[in-house]
Amino acid sequence: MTAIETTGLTKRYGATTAVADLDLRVPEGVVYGFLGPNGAGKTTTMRMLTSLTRPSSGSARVAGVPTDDREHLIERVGYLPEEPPLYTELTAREQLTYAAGLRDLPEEATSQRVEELLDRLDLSGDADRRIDAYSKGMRQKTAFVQSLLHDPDVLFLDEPTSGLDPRAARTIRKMIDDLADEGTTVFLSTHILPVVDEHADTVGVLYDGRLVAEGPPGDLKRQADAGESTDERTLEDVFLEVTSEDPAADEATVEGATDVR
Amino acid sequence: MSGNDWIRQGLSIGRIEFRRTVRSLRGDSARLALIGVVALLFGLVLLAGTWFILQFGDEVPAGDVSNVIRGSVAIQWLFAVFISAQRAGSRHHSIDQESLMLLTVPVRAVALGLLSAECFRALAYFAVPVLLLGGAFVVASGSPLMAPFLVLAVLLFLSTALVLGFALGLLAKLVVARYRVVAENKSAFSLLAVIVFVGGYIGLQNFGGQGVTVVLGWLPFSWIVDLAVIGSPFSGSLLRAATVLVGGLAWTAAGVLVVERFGTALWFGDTVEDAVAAEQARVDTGTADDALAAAVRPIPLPTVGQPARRIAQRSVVVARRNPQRLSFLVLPVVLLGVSLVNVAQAGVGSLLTLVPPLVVVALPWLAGAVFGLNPLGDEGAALPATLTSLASGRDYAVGLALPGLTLGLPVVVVATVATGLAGPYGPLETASLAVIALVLTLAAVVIAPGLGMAFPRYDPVRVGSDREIVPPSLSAVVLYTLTLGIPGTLAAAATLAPAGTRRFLSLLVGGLLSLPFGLLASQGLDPARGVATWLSQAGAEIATIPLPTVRWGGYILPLAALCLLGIWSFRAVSRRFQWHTLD
Repeated sequence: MTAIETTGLTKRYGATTAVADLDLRVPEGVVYGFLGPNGAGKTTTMRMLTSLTRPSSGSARVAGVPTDDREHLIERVGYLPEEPPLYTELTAREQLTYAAGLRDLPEEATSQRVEELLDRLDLSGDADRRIDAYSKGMRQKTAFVQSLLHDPDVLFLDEPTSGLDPRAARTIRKMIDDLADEGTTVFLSTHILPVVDEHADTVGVLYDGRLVAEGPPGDLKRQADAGESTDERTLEDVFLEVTSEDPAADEATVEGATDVR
Repeated sequence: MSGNDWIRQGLSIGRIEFRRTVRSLRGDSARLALIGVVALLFGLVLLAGTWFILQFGDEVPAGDVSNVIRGSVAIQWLFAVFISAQRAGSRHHSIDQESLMLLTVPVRAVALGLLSAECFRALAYFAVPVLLLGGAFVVASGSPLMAPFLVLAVLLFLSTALVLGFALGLLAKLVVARYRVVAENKSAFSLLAVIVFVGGYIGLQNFGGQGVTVVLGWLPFSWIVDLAVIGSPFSGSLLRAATVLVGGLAWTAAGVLVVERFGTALWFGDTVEDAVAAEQARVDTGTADDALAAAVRPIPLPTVGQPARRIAQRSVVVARRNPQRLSFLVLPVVLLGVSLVNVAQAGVGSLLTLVPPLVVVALPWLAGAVFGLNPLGDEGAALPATLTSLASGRDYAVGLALPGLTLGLPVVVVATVATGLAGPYGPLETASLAVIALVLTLAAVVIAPGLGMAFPRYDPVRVGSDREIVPPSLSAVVLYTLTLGIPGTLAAAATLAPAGTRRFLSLLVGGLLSLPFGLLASQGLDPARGVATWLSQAGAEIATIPLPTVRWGGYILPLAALCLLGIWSFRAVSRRFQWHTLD
């Protein structure tokens, strides 16, 4: 079963093409690492997949629901944007109660789940402090909890470990693995390549709005043309090669499971 | 570093800060548009004033500068001090990139930089009016010797007020930074200071009489007027002029040193504010199962579906904990209050006569504006989460309307009935006003979000030193005011004064509206003649409408229109929410 499926998904802003002809197939229950330099179109893609932005052309289905059917789509997806979507005047507990309320989740069950998740992310002690007194990492953790309160089928995460201390980052990474094990598809956009290397089942690299490489991280690294170098390739090497504007580097093909350039 | 390097550095900082202000203004199209409109209106008045002075300036009889004139100048000087203190305390108590500046140049240079930047900002607003009006008077009265003294007096007025205001503003910040009790209640103290000063200023301007003004004329800074009139047909006191010139320069120089001293204590000292903020961030919800419901207490929001209830609860809690979000309401309310006092003073009617119809329109306006005039902008970073929640458009519209309705409706009705009965109106008129207030409030809480979503604003503005808020767009405020104000005023006027309302409408249609067409017709534009004639006839016909028809028609039609508009707006909010995207 395919969790995310796009066909020729394109977004144009005037003369600028943010995302061009994106064809994706992401199976259920995997962690899909979505990489790309700043401005490559990752956030735009996630916004289109969550119905927050309308595509200029092409189509997409997430959890089997077309993305232009927002009413049904949002029952199935969770989204953590790069800027935590929180009201800074509320406390974490109030914020999560609010988010659960908007989804009309049963109040008592929600309350228990909120406590569990707050506890797991070491937020219980600060749950009655206003978010405007939180550090960036605490905000990120609160927003992460908020995005998965309703057990979404597909979870879109934009830089989820940004600003977190090592302990919190590890907790989130562990939770991402657990979610995937339980069948949730995690669409993970991040600049922290080791995170993707360690946790993603498949990696897609977006460059200038186009998917330029895709495949399991191991395959991408193994099959990348190392030229004269005999060093072991890292995902960072692969990333730099496929997102380089140097024609010589362009010739260096990354023949992972798919080189989609 | 040479001895006077700090002056060069300070002026350089001032230039850069001013340039940054100009550039940020260029990037703020809404503010630029507002300034443009004000400049246009003010420019017309200014040009008319200049023309008037050029025509009749030479006819102004020569005379002595009295203490009443000096006192009037002193009131404006005190106002300038207040504005400067308020800006220094809330916005310009530090420069951006403070760590860079404080480790690169002496604090004295930073102090001078802040002051000179503020001086440049003030001059940007006042230079042109002063030069035009002052220049016109110099030319008209044939007194060229006056020009340099006038310029000197204006500069002295600005610099002396600015340094005192800045020192007071920084002192206030310092007191907040050092004393826990002040830091804990700084919003209340700030509000109190504003109320005391603005109340005092309005009181002096409107009710002070000449006695207080004459006393203020003994303040040395009022003597700036003696300096300004040197060389003009007016004769001031040369001794006072010399005193204020020497004293003002010394005052300004000493002020820079005081600002440096306060700045050093503020920028390099400890503050209790962080600890207070951390304490105040903790919310005691007790053992409540429902944290958000507990935060709303004791406001009794009605029982509705969970998503709508949560939206309403969130609106109330956010507004309560961040009242700066509502600062956009201050200006209209103050303007309304001042207008009311002016109208009452002009003898149009007593305050008791004017307050009930004002309450009928203004309080429903507030009930809608407080919670709903920029719903999408109020969401801030949370907008993507709200849009991808399961709340329906209807839930969203209901949730936005509930707080204004729950909090506003009882207040509006009680205030209308109380002021109506306290005024000269009978029970029937008061009941009619109460119905208007009811309909207006119901309409306001759904029309405000409708217009706010049609004209959203997302760019934040800085309020105070540490908060950014997103006020509603100017278009939303203006359209909302007109949409609610015109029918509301018409309904209230038709109820209380049908004859006056009929006369006004007749003059509006037959006179004011037909006037431009009449002028065009006089220039030979024939189609305009037909329109002008039709409008004149319509005005005349309005004047013959029977008074009962005016009373009931003027009462029912605007209210019916508002009801229809409210229904349409409710649906528009639902639709927009369901289909809103972040393109």
